[in-house]
Amino acid sequence: MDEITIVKIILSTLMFVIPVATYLIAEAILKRIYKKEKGERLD
Amino acid sequence: MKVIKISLYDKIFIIYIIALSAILFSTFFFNHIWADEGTHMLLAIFYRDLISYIFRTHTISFDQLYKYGINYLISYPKLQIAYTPLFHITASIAFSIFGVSEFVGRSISLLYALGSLLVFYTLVKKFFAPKIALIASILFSFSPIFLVYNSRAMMDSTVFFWLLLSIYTFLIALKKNNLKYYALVGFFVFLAVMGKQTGVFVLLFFLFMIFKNPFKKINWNLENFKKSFAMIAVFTVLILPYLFVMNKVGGIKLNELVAIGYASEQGEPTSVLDYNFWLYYLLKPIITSPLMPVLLLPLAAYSYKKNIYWKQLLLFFFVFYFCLTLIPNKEPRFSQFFMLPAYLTSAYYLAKTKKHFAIFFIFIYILVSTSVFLPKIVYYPTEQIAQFICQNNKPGGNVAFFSEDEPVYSSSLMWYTIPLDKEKNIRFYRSCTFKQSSRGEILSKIDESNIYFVVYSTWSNDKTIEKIKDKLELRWEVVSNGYTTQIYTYKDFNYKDIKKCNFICLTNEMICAQ
Repeated sequence: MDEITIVKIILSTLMFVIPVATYLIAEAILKRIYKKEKGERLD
Repeated sequence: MKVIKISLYDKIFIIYIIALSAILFSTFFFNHIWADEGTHMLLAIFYRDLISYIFRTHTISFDQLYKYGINYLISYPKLQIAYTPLFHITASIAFSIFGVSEFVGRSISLLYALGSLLVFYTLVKKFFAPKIALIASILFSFSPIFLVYNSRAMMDSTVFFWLLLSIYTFLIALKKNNLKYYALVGFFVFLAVMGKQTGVFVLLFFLFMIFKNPFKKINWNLENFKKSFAMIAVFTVLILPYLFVMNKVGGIKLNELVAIGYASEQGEPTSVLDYNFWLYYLLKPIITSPLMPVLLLPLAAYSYKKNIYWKQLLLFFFVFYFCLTLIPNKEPRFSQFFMLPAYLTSAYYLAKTKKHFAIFFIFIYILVSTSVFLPKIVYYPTEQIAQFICQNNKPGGNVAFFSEDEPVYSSSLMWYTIPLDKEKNIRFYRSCTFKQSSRGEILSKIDESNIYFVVYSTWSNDKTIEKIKDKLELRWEVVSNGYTTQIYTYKDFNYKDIKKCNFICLTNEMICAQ
């Protein structure tokens, strides 16, 4: 496997992980805030 | 002093931006430069050298500076001053500080892109929930057009940054009702236009917002005229000197040539009677952004349901869609302008839907973007070709291109030659110089122009080189990533001390040193 193929595999993995992870973390934070505020939804 | 509060949500967004920039930055090392990148970075170097020439010689005479520009153009005939200069000036400053390299040029484009993403996020968050702002930013930043163009030294992100900043300032102006803010909007629109001319259409959106807000009846009161005047006056005062200089150096004529000539040359619909003319942005960008029509559906549903700010969002979409349709030189990447409200409304529905569906959609979205973006990462050793030419050139020898195709463009080779040939001794002749010429004419042009090296990409449809191949000696055949570039030398090279001239493709004329 050449250098550029390895780079592309790493990049494509990161490209999936970063936005999905960001979305999930944000979602978890929102849930925590929602629990704290006890009622009013933020979204 | 007002303290800016950064919530946990914002911190996550900042980490997201840093991670995204790391992805895009890493591609800088594995991409050869495109023709347009070469042109933009050459222009940035030209501006840097021009400013340094002004300081060195203390000259502000227009004729002197024009002469300097023409002499530069003779060596590097890919300089195109009709481009609005903000990206190039920013890059030229960065080149002076960090040195000349494509990493610096691409970083400027990337920084503007990250800036525009930050403003987009802040803008959406001002009116919608943070979750919507975050998802909209993910959709915007993971669109194939964003990924492909912002990892290159292109002008697009410059206009987006200033355009979004002008929208943000405009909304503050509406709220504060202060003329100073409207003047500031005019200034930001000027910068957006200096990034790229297409930014000017936002003024139309602002005028609609001032006079038709809240979209019921046109409000012709004096206050609205004052606001519009403050905005337009600042913009006009700033843009007029630029237009004056452009007119003097022939830039406006060049713009006409590019806009009208290139549109028909590239097969873009130019007749208003052709349905492709009106549907261009719904059909053409699908190749690079296959999910674009899917993202327009939520905008339609959002407007149909008359959700909050639906009129403003739809107005923004239509202003940019129609204005960009009316310009002759259309590009699929311009769709990014009118897609901004579509990202927002798609995010609105994704934030409301179940988590699993949202993740599934984002996953598919990234899959499509990745499949467009990754194949565009291609490396080609253009830099080594420039080194080979500079090391093996005969005194006074110049370079001719007999093709203008992937992967070695004239502009990319000129770009890599600049640091190796600081005195600009080597001149480049583009393939248009020899097109439709007979064998005799080509050979006489080669003799008169002191051409020693000939560069040809076998990928090209241009077969002019066949007419003189017996006079050329193949010195190096560069095979990489499925592309072959042939480097020849001219067997009968004999240096002649004659006037330096070059052929300019765009204006179809020969220009000579002054």
